Amino acid sequence: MTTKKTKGEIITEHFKGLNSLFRDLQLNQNGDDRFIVSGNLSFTCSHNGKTIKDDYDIEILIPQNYPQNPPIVKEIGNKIPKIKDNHINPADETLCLGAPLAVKRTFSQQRNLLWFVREQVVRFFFSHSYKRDFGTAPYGELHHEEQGLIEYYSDLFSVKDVSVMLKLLFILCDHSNNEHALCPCLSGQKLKKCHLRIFKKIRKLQSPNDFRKEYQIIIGYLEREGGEW
Amino acid sequence: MYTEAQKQQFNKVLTNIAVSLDIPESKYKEAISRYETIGEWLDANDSKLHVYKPTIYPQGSFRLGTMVKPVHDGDEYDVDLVCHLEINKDNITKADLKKMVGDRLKENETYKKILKEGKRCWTLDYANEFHMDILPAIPDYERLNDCILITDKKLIEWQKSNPKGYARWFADRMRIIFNQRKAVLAESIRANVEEIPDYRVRTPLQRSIQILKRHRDVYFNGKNNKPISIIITTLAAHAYQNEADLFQALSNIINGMVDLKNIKDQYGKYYIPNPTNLEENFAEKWNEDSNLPKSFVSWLSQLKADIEIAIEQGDLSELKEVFQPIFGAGIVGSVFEKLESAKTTSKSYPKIIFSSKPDKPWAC
Repeated sequence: MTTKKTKGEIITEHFKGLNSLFRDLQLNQNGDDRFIVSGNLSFTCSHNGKTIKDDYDIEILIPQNYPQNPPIVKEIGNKIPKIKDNHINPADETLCLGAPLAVKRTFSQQRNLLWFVREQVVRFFFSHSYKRDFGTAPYGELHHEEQGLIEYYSDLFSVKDVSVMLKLLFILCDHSNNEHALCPCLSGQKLKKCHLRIFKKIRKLQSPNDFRKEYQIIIGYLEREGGEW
Repeated sequence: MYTEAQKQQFNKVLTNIAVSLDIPESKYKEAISRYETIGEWLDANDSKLHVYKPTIYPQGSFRLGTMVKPVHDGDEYDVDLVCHLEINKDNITKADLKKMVGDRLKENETYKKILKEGKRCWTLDYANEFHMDILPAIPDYERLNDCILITDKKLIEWQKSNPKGYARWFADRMRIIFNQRKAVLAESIRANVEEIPDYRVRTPLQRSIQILKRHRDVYFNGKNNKPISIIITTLAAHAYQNEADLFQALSNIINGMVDLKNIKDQYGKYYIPNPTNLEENFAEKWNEDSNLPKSFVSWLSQLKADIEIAIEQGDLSELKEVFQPIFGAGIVGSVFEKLESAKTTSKSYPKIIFSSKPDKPWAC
């Protein structure tokens, strides 16, 4: 029988993997026994024949429920002005690596620090350096706040109409659904032959409550804007 | 036991120590130009030696690429040279041969001031630079193949020698790895192999010999019975099996040398022959003075123990503590200084290739 690893052991092991590639990061524990990875993150990346070699001073906060949830990252070297245009939350100065579900989805492919930092954090900083040096974001950007969420879910569901996107998102606000009902996307297919596939995947990543919060944020926004939906 | 990381660290530090024991390239070239000028002086048209076609060539560690910096800063590098004159041994005495060379050197005002007479050779003392030992020699017509005759210390008998042949034997002992290293070096600087001078390539055998000699110089500093370089070089070259890894090479060499049974002949006498002249026994004196083999063995076991401790050290600062007393604080200190500053300046920017679909950045 194998004994279950403690959280500290898991994090230490994951950190070793991270540290093998990114040598200038250290693992520490703060007063509340929270794990923090900090130091300098250096990388070389290419996109469309253009190469970026850069480094940022960062702090990675490991959440209590790691590795279920992805870590939270801060840029602490004052290399990036803390404004929303730079995809940084001005309130707590954390990086907005992507829409919340998108970040969880990418992280869920391999729940460890090396994957997270390489695929998500380095990608974020690379995008920033690239846009700074060449004027365009290499992978596109979402709008801020609610508008960005609308774009993300519309993109995820492959629908153009915001009201259709909302009908689909509304289904996710509940634990279950009628598989045999027609899909709200008007494909003429039953839900189980249509969007239920993507629902099954993303329901593993966040709770109906999380979806409901996002749904309400979008509805509130659309009401304030008085738009047609 | 040691880990791969410990071995790499050991190799890196030891290679750097060996590099700092090397004669600097500028000094190396200067030494060559110095002895070529001496050669021209000896062979000048108005020189009495001119008819004997005098030539000067290096022998010993300068030729083999196993030189080590003197233990005391400011001490001179020893450069051993052969001054070859085409004279038949029946037509000259040992004393006359030596005198002829000395007389011609004295005719030069510069050389006259720095010339010293040894038992069988002449030394030019370039202060703070080199001791150039010039050993007069004539061809050994009975053996040919670069064999030469030199005088013994009492100027009574001719002794057989063959520095060029020995250097060829030595080069053969490390041929495989030498050629490999040279090819890699050539490729790395996009040059043809033929363009790379031999002295630019150093094999683990040469590095090991430098380490052995340095350890010996520190161990025997101020003491008697120091083993002579030619014995160390010959035994090391015999033990070397073209290992590419310095630690492996050094360990195998030390283990191969430790067993003195292998260096006795059938009559129980110490016998370390010159591989190019089996009549020449480098260990001749060991049979006259038993302190010599004794101190050789105790030195080697100390070296073996030192290496075994060093390989198990975890980090650089621990390795420094081990190496400083055995290779000298000055040289080890500057090697570690260099390594530590390289560590801070050569920040790595790992090449990242993403394997997931990108998330578009957002802001909440």
